[in-house]
Amino acid sequence: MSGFWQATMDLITSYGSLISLAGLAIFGVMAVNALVAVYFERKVSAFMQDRLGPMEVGIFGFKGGRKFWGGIGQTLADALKLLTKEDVLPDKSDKALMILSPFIIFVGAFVTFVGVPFSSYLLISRFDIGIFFILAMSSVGVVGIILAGWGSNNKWSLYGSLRSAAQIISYEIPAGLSILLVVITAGTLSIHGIVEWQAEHRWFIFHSPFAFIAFFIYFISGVAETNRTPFDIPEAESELVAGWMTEFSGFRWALFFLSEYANMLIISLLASVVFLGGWLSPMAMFDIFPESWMIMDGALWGMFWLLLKAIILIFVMMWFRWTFPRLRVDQLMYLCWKVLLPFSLVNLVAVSIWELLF
Amino acid sequence: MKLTLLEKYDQDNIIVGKVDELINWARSNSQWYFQFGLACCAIEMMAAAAPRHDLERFGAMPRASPRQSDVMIVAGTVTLKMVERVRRLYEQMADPKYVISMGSCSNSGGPYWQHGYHVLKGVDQILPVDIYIAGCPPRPEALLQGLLELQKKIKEETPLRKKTV
Amino acid sequence: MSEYFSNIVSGLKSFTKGLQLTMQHFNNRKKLVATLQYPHEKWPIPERNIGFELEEYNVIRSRLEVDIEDCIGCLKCERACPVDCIKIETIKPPKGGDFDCGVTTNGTQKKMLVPRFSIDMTECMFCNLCVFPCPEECIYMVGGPNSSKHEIEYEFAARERSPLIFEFAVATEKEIIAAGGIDYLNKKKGIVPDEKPKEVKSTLKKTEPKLNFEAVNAFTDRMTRALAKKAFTAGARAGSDAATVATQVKSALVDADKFLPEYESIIENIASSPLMTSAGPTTELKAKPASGPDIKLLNSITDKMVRGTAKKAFMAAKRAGKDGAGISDDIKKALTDAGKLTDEVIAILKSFSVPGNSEVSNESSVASAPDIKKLNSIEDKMVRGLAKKSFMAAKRAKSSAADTVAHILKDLKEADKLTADLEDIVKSIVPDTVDATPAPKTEFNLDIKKLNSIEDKMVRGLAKKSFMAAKRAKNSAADTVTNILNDLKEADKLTPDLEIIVKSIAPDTVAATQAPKTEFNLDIKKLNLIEDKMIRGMAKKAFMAAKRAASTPEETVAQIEAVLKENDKLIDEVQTTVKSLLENES
Ligand code: SF4
Ligand code: SF4
Ligand code: SF4
Repeated sequence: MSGFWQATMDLITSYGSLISLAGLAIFGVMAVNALVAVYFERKVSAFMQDRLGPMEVGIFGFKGGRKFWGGIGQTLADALKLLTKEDVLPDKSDKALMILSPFIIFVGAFVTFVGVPFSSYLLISRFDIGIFFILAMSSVGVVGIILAGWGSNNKWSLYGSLRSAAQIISYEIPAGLSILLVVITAGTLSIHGIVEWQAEHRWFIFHSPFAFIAFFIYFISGVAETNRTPFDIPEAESELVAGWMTEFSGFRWALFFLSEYANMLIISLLASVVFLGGWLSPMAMFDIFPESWMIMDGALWGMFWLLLKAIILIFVMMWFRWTFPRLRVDQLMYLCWKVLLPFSLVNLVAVSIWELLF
Repeated sequence: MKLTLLEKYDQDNIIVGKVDELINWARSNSQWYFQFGLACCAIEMMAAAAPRHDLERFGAMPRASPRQSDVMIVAGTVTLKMVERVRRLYEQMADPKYVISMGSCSNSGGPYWQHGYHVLKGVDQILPVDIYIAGCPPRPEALLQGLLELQKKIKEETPLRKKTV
Repeated sequence: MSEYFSNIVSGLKSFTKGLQLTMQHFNNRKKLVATLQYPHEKWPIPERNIGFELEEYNVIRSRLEVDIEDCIGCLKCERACPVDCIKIETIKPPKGGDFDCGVTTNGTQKKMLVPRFSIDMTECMFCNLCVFPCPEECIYMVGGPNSSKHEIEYEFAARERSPLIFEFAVATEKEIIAAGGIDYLNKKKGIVPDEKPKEVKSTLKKTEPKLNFEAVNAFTDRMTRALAKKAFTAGARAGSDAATVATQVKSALVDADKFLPEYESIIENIASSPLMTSAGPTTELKAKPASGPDIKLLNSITDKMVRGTAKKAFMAAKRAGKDGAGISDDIKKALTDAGKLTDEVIAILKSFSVPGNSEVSNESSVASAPDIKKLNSIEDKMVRGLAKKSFMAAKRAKSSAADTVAHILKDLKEADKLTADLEDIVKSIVPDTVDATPAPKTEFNLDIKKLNSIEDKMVRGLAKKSFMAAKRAKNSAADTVTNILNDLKEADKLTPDLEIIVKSIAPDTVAATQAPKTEFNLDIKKLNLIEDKMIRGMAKKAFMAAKRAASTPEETVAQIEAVLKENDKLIDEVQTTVKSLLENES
């Protein structure tokens, strides 16, 4: 036993600084992502509704542009306010679970980032089973959601969390099957392997018509997994107050928020890595560009391309959110089990045949 | 005179003052309001949130859950039956919490102040109201101005120190 | 199976359609964003009346304002208020006394002093019902149609409830006492007179001058003062002399355990001063009324803050009984203190000392100002909003009329909304360019009210709509009529009756139809003899229809009979009544 502890301590002392550095980096990415994404989400929603969105809140007196993009300090103020708000633990709730659950959800998103690349060099850990790790870890959050709903001792929370669990677990299947198709074709579970395959051949989304459909199936399932509108029945304000978040306030609620936006980033990054060529520049796909342009594939450029793709996908998610009303529970299940799942199964078979033929 | 740490902390000093300012800035600029329409005034509250006036410019966005909202806009007639709920919802909000009383009905009972057997004569009988907005219903601009007034009020607070009564 | 796939296809279609829609809004935000950034820019308050016939009906929920100088204390508004949020108290000065309540701007002699006029804006429901009965038109909603009297004000959120209770009365304690309101004052302060107040009052009114409270008022403590006054009044009325009264006051205070050594001097004072005042403040007050300068002159100050300060100083000076020059000096001083004295204000103030001048300068400044109301003739709501917005912006920047027009035109052009028609309208806001247009406008004197005789609501609406459209387009009378007729025809609603009514709106076309109409002088009142309500109604309806169709008397009777017969109501009695219409005629 003491040998085990010894070994652990050794590990921590030798890698401790590295690990904490990585942790800080991930946390920084999550925080910045949430700050920026929330701001843009509010702006995008406002513009789609012919409004202006946050305009009056500036940092150090600088509000941003006067015409449209003002109020750049808004999310910072929101975050600070949430941190200074009272932390309510209702009397009859299961306090331990209520304290624990936000952290479980947060850790789910946090750990997933270990496997998520930002460019070919910029990533915490290079697994051989990267895809598998990401898929597995991003489902950890469900446990937190169920605990949150249960611990709140509130009927709306419980309804919300059960809906959320049903939804996330259901949509994991078409998402997994769509990615499986990539894995079959590339023959590897490693993220680098998949991107190298795309560098040699072409972006996966253009691999075949079936892969094209698979991308959309994956993306839709991904949106559903983040519990965002139109798939936000777990929160459904008109029915369930705020779903499984109803009883959470202040800092612990901020963690939910942070995780939601982190999950958006994860889904978008994964979709761009697996289907959209990851850190490869769009120019590399075609031969028409002169050779000199290929320097745009370096380490930094790689990060740029990957983030650009991810940001576009995040924008599309926001676009969805502010366009569609939420689905009913039965419609949600219909979409998953009767539309997405059969299509992804057919895709899987079809791509296998395609690979055999060509 | 020797001050204890707590007393020192209670004094105005530059650190405490600056942190106060920061917190007040954050709080006043992020007043998420509790969707709480009780009667006709709620329509004007919606109008204030709609594109023409857009409450969100001031960082005020609607929340459905009392736990996550900062300000309760009591918009409409508080009937006696609703009193208990209003009070409970207020108690469910997390500190710091504020109340805006919007419209004559919640200010004083409004059209029902005399003969309304079923109406609470002013929501200030059950809640500490921070801002009263006159109108029946108030114009959306009046609500916006009420919100600005609330922001001013918040900026006068000293959240880090004991409250002086 | 095919349904399954068609579902998916239609789902995809609506999916892309929805995304396209929101994307359009996202991309066109420059044009589409409708937000007005409230504290920085304000939406011009629409001067409309929703469904009310009355032009001056003000539906703006702004705030009530009372020009207290004009209020005669008739309590009509208080009684009209459905929620009883107006509280007025009045004092009637004794008859034959020399207290003058003043004259209103309408020239009415005021007979009451109004010491309290409070409106509780937290209770008010902004229904405007108190405005109509006021004989002096001194209570009104600010802004909108009344913006000449008081600028719009709807932003008065407060942290307490009390600032929302507006007190308009300005009567000072002195005035109240002078008007014989001592009981009122005492009541307000919580003092109950111990003798039968009414009798005393009557004697006081006619013969005796006021009690001299000056010495007693030197008590600073309220309770003590009240006690002292009580004893003082009792003593004075019992006819004692000053020295006795003084001792009475002292003993009363000692009894109540309120006497302090330093009050000794006050008691002495009481003993030495006369018990009654003779003329008192009344003479001073008499100087106040009418001839002084008008506070409304100050409304032409554009800056709100400055105006507020000026008005405050004005009221203070007026209350102190100063004349025009004195008031303007006071205002000037107040403004210099606040650092707000501009040339504009000085010019306005000058008019104070020269009463004759004032109106001229005032009017001229109003006349040259462009008129936002003209913009109301723009039909498209969005465009109108835009135009008004830039109008207000220009106004705030104090641009000249021509600049304003240029400004509006520019803004409209930017928004890609400028049409030739629009340009005309915008240009018309400047008074001098108007000259060309009014000529046809005055000719347009058709009477929309004539259309009210159309019975069907829908049709009436249609007709009025096209009437207004024609009016706005400044069509001639004949054109208007044809316009309306065409519109009605398109809507498939044109009956011969209708045509007559519509034609009747144009004065010249009327001439032909009117001839038989004047002959039609049957008396509908005769039909009142019919007892059954239903039948009577029917008969009258038919009567009116016939009248409108300009039928001859015989035809009319026949028509009424036919209608009644159709409905199986033609009993003998009724028939004779109907026939009687004709008999008396002949
Ligand atoms: S104040 Fe007027 S508008 Fe508001 S709820 Fe009461 S009655 Fe309705
Ligand atoms: S507007 Fe209506 S409620 Fe308000 S004071 Fe006048 S009558 Fe009374
Ligand atoms: S109706 Fe007009 S004149 Fe009469 S009391 Fe009211 S405000 Fe005064």
